[in-house]
Amino acid sequence: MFTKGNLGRKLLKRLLNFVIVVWGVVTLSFCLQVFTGTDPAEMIVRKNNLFATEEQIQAVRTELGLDAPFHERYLDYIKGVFHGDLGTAITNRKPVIQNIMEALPVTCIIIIMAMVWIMLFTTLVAVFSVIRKNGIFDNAARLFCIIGICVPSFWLALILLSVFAVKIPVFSVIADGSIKSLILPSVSMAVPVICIATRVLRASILNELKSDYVVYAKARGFSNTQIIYGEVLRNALPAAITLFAQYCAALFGTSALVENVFSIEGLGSYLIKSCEGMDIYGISGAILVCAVLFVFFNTVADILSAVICPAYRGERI
Amino acid sequence: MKRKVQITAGIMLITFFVLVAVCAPIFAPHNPNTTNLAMKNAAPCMEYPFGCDQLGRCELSRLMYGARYSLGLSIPVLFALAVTALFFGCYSCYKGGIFSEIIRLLCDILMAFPVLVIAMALVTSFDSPTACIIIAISISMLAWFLRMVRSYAKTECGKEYIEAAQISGASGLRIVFRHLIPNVLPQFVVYFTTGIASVIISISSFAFLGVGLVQGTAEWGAMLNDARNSIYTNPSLIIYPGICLVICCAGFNLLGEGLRDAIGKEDETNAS
Repeated sequence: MFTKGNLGRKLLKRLLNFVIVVWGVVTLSFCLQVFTGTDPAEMIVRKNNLFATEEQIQAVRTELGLDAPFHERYLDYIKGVFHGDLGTAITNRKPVIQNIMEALPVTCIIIIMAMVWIMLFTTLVAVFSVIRKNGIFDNAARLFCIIGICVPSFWLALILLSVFAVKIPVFSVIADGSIKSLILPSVSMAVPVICIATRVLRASILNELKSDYVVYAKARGFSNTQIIYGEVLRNALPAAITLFAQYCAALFGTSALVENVFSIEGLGSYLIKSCEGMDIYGISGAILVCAVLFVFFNTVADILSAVICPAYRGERI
Repeated sequence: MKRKVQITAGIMLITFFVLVAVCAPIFAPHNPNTTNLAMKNAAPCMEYPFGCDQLGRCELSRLMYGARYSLGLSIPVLFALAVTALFFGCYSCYKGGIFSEIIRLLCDILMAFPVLVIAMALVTSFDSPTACIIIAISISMLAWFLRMVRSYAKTECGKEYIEAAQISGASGLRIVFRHLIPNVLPQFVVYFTTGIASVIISISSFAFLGVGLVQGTAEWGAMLNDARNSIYTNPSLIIYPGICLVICCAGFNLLGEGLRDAIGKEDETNAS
C-alpha cells in the first residue's frame, strides 16, 4: 500500500486527521452536556413529578452517573459513543441512538434526492455555460445563480409549498414520506446549492481550459465540446467531488429548516424537538451525528480525489 | 464596465438597507408591534402600504425594523471576527509549526458543526437569545474566516517579498502587519462581503425556527415563521420578508462579486 509513497502517506495523514477531528467533535459534544445550564436529572424528575424533592433528584443523578468525577464521566461518554450508546433521551426515555436511527432514513432520502438534482444540474449548466461562454445561456445562468445564492432554502420551501401544494394542489402540504412528497423539500434544498456549485464548477472548468493539454488537443483538431466532455471534465472532477461532498455534509446541517416547513420527522426535526424539550442528550447526540457525517464526507471526498486523479495534490491548509 | 455596475448596485442596495435600518423609527409609518385587530390581514392601502399581518400590524414598518436585526447583528460581529481571523490566520501561517497545526485542527473541528446546529445547541445554555446567536455565529464563522485567511496567507508566504523582508531584518510581527495582512486583505474583503450575506440568512433561519429571538419580534425570518399560519388566508405575507432577505443578500453578494473581479482573482474554488 505504501509503495505508492506519496499517496499512501497522504491517505494515512488524512485518516489521522479524521481521527483527531472526530475526537475533538466527541469532546465538544460532551462539553455541551456538562457545561449547559440545565441539570438532566432535575429535568427527568420534574417531568414526572412537579413537587420533586432534592433526594429524588439526587437519586436520579447517581443513577445516571452524573455525580462521578469529571474525567470518569468523560471516559464513560467516549466508551459509550464507541458502543453506539449516546445516552437516554429525556423526552421519551428511549435510547437517543434509537431515536436518531428512526429519524435518519427520511433525512438521508431527501439529501440523496437533493444531491441527485445538484449533481445533474450543476454539471449540465456549468458545461453548457462554458461551451457557449458569454452567450445568452451563460449570462442568464449567471444572473440566475447570483440571485439563487441569496435565496434562503426555507423561504423557497414556503414559496414552493404555497404554489404547488396550496394554489395548485399537485403535492400534499405535509410530506408522508413517499418519494413524491419529498420532491418539493429536496428541490428547495438543492436550488441554493446548485447556484453556488455551478459558479464554482464553471470557474474550475474555465481554469482547466487554460492548461497545456487543451491547447494540444485543439491543435490536433478536436472541437471545444469534444475537449470539454472528453478531457476537461475528468480533470475538473476532483474539485467537483470535494465540492459535492462538502455540500452533502452541509445539507445535514440545514435540513432542519426544510423539514420544519414540510413537517417531516427527520434528523433536523428531532434536533428541534430536543431543543424545545431541553433534552440535552438528544441535542448532543444529534449534533454528534451531524458533525461526524460532515467530517466523514469531507475525508472520503479528499481520499477519492487523491485516488481518482493522481495529479490532485491539493495540499489541505 | 460590468464590475462597476455590480459594485455600484451592491453599494446602493447596502446603503439603502442600512439607511432603512438606522432611520426605521423616523420613516416607519406605524409602530411595528402595535396590533390593530380591525385591520387583520388587510390589503395594501394608503395608510398601510404593504397591508397588515395576521395580527393587524403594519407590514411595512415591521419589514423596516427587521433590517435592524439582520444588519445590526451581522456587521459588527463579523467585523470583530474578521480582525481576529486576519491576525491569527496570518500570524499562524507565517510562524508555522505546532501553533499553526493546532489552529488548523481547531478550524476543522469547529467547521464540522453547522451554524444552525450550534445555535440550537446553545439555546439551552444561554438565557439571552442575542448572546446565543452571536456566539453561534462567532464560532462557525471564525473557523471559516481563519481557514480562508490561512489559505490566502499560505500563497503569499511563498512569495519573494516576504523573503526579502526577512533578509532585511524585519521582525515576525512587522512582516505580518506591514506585509502579509495588506496583501491578504483584498481577497479577504471579497470573502467578508459574501460572508455577511450568508450570516444574514443564518440569523433569519434561527429566527424562522424560533431559536433565539422572542416570539413576535419584527425580524424577517420570524415574520416568515408567523406568516406560515396564514399560508391559505394571506400568502402575500410570505412574499415580502423573503424578498427583503434576497435583495439585502444580493446587495452584499453583488459587491463581493464586483470586488472579486476588480482585484482580478478568480478563486471561486476556494470561496465555497
